[in-house]
Amino acid sequence: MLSATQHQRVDRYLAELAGALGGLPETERADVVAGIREHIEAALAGRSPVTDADVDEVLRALGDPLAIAAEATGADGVSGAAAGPAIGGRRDAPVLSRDWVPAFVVVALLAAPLLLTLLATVGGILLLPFAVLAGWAALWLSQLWTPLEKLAGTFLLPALSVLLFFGLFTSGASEVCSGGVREDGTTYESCTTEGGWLTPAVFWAILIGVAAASVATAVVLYRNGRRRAAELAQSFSTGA
Amino acid sequence: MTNLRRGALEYCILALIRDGERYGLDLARELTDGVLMAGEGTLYPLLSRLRKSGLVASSWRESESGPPRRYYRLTPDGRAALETFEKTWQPFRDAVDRVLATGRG
Repeated sequence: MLSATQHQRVDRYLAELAGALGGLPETERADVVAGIREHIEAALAGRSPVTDADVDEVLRALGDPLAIAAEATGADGVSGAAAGPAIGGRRDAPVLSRDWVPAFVVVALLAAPLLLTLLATVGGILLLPFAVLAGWAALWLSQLWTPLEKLAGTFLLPALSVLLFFGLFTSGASEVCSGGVREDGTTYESCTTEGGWLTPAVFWAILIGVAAASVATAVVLYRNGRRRAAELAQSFSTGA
Repeated sequence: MTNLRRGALEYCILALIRDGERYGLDLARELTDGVLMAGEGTLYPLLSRLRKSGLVASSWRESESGPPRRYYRLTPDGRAALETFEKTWQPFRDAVDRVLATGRG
């Protein structure tokens, strides 16, 4: 039997695969995913109890979902379908699938918004939309990531700076004063301090959680992106 | 090399089920040697295509350990395609070898 986290890991792998197979007709996609699911179940059936390492090993042996999708969509062979570029075809990987793209996406969506938010007072905030739009465009147009990874990158990478932005400008405490002149001629003034919409402790807890999610997303996108860019570069340079 | 490798790989799958039906995991383990297939998962899109083009058929069987398994077998069309390939492959390979050797000098 698989534990809940092992199930999640397998489901995540299959979801990534289904996403990567997006270009295929529905029946064919379902067929490939069902075959892989059965393979995983059969490979784990002989082991009791199933350890996390077993699950990792089976998924690693299956290979990167994008590599499987490439086999499914890039055609040719006995069974036909459209032929891809043959030997001597294009020599370079598409621009947005080169090795600098992962670093660019992480800088544009995570590092730049953070810096620009902190530099808000000197006008850095004006550059923010450009950085984020460029990052999103590169992320979605590139072939280096699965749809799930793109979705995570879209929201989780900029999440930290969005939270910081609201943290700096709206959740801080503010002082409200009222004053006037009494009938006897003396003046009075009273001030109350109103808390922000979050207590500091809750704000910090959320901030740390979001920071961890942002950084983890950045690490995963960067690693997967670099690895796939290297594989792509190699397959293009050998004319495959 | 991708197209050449993939084409040959499809015939290797046909050859492995020539003498009897086999299930996916079994085929994947046999073909994953880093040359024909880099990862076991690559097998499944190929099986799906072979099935779609009528060279391979499949049916579900119970297994003693674990869930039911899908077994793949050759269709008459698949057997014919494999025989044609075998007849062509040997002269094809010899011809390529000869040219490569000549090129070397």
